[in-house]
Amino acid sequence: MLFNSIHFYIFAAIVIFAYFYLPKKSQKVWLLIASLYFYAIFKVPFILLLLVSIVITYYFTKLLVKTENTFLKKIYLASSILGNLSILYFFKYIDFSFVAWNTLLGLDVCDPGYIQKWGIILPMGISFFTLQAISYTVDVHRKIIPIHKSLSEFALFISFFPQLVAGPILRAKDILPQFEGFKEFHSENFYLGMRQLSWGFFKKTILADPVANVVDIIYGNPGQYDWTMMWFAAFLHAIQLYCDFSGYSDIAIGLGRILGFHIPKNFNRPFFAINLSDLWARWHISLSSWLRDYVYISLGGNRVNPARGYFNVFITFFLSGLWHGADWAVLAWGTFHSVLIVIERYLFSFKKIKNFMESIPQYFIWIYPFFIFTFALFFFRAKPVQGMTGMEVALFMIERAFSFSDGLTLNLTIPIWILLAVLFIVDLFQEKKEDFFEKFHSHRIYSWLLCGFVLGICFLIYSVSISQPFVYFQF
Amino acid sequence: MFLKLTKHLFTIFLICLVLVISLELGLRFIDPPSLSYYRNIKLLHRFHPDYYVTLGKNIDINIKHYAGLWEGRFTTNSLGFRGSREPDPNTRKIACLGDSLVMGFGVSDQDTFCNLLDGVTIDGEIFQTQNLAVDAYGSLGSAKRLEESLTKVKFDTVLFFVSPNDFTVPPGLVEQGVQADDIVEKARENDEGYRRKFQIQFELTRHSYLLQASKLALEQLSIKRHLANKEAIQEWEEAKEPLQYISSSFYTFPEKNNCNVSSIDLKPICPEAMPSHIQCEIATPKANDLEPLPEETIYAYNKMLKASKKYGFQLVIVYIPMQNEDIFCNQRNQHSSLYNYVIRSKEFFTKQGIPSIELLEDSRTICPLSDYFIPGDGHLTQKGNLWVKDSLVPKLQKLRGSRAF
Repeated sequence: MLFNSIHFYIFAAIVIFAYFYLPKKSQKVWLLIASLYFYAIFKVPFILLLLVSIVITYYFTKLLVKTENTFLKKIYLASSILGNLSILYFFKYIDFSFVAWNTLLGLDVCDPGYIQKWGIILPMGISFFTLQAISYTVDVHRKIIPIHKSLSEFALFISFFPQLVAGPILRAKDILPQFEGFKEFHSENFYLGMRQLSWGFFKKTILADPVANVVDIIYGNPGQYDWTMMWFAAFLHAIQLYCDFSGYSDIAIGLGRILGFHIPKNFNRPFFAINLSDLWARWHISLSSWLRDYVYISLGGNRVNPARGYFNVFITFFLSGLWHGADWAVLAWGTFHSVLIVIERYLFSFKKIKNFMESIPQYFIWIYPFFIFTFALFFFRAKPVQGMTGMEVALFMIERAFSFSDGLTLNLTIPIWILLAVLFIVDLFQEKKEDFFEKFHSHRIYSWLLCGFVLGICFLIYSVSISQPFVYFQF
Repeated sequence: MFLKLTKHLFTIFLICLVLVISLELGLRFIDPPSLSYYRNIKLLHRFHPDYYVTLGKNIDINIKHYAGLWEGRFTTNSLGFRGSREPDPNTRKIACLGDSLVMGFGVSDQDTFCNLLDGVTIDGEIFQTQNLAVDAYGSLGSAKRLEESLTKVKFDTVLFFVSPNDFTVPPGLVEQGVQADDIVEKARENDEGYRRKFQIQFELTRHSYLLQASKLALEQLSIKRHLANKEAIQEWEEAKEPLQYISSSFYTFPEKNNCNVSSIDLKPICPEAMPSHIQCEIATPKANDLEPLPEETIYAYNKMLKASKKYGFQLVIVYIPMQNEDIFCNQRNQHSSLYNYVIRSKEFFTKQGIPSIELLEDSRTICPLSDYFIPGDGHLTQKGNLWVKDSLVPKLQKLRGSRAF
């Protein structure tokens, strides 16, 4: 089910209303049923996959804790991790593996050894819930958390509908303890949740979708537009991605809050980052921290010699790129970031350079990571058009961006520019440690009016149009 | 106690009022792309006491399709005809009469086929065209608009483009209670109650963005509910074969690559492959074998014939093949039953001695169809409008040569 749909409006109202009226024992069952229904709306059989992941993780982790044998422990740990990774690999990467095989060996359609794509459909949220499941087993193995005895609560942890299909990727230590006890309705939670949820709808529907219209037009026919439009499209795409994905996270966090759960934040104003590493520490925080805890640290982190340390950084960010998509252009995007982050870390290890960077006024320093991020998006967004592969489109756009070529121009409407300025100002306030929303705190009536305004406009839009899926659904 | 309750109610009323005002202003300010299309279409139109909807005068508006399928500039002249060009009293005139396809949905003013016909020379005489078409009109709406326009402008020729929706309804929609435009128009002709309600609704939704969006939301929600039910039933039916259902949920079953097909063969082949759902017939039926025209349609046609005699213009009926089925079947020398509307309508006009033009044979060269008709929308593209104009001109010249007009 898409958040930005009338179906969701009705679903959320029913789930929230019934949730607080149900007795203690039924609350979690109700949430589990709601979560499975939420997922089944995409396609009923997708639930099977979710259940396989839940069962594999739950039982192998249980066996892992039960046994005292170190070897068996490793076997169970590996089984749980590989079980989830196999699901992820099969549904997300297997077709790309065939493409990579054919490309790397230079095989043409009729050559012996050529493997044709199987045409696997990527189920929604698979990249999120499999990572969540892996983190549980590893955390239990590392004794960060105790084993969770209740299968239904564990199933709810994996399938919790507010964050099921596009994160944030939850950690068991953050959320499982919250499942204990009875959740009563708290007007404060309801108020704060509705505020964050409305802010998310504002970012997604009022900002990201109209911006996406312009981005799609330019990326759909880059040869028609002049060189400035290539940069403009990449810039807007950065804005679109931020509004879209952080909007989803805000809705998830707000919804969780209404239900009485505290879901950790997933974005921390990434475009106010002072360098590329900082940007990635602020963007999709739950993925960055997952990779840090389960890949980077497992590889030795920075407690190794410098060369190995850089290698660890490279591998971690390369995997981050790979997670984002099974496509050459996205792989190039991930590699580009990995290389640059390694270079950045190396350069910043020199005090003179670090001091110089720190001496630059903050407003200017924000430009550097944003520019790199934006430039890399040429690869990230490029989709095959007019007989060109995604990679060819990306290279064509980059060439065009630097060639001062003529063509058509496009722009956003003035209201959208004004609303983007509002978003910038709110983020800037918060970056300066001033909670913009707190200004409304003593006058809640204004907050409620703003929530009503945003939800009202979104309701009208969702009623009339076909909902635009969130960008991160494809991952 | 009573005072307290009154105060609370007043506060709630005030909050609701502020919310409604802010939604109205917010919608006008943001003008969301998905609503903007409907809003601009509404702003283009005006209520007409006789035939319900007409175009506003001296309008200049840019309309972008809600799904981004097309975008065009829509202007109207001082008489409310599409295009900014005013009728020239010293030039002979052709009027284009019909629905949205003729009005030129899908393209800007300059690209509508009616505008492309402007300045056409027939038998040595230059003609100016005026586009009288209004979207969603049936035959009666067209006839009434023509009658009214003739009191303001003298036309020498009126090209009436018949649409299948005028008096036929595609299979599947009949069960849903959808009626042909002519039937609906005739039923509403003398319904004063409906007219008054429509006027109030039209004017309110034209002046208030919020009311228009709310009305649209209500209508669309009912359609969405209907579609959701249909999808659920379909999913249930699919689930009766579990293995097939599960595998089709996870696989797309890509077509196997054929090594024997060279890259040249992969280019689009004309005529295009016919979609499997299209059924063609070998023989074209005779008019006598088909249902006669509905009396509502005959009523509207008679109005046009009367006007033709009264104002002394030549009525010419034009049939553009506007359904994929018509074109696909004809390209295979077969017939689509959906094209029967032409046979029925033509029979009537032929008996009355009114000349008609069919563009079906000209559509044999159309390939790919998506270059001529906007996919998912059905209106003519720029190229499609040009094709209609190019096909129409020689036929008009031939008619003129044969003294049919």
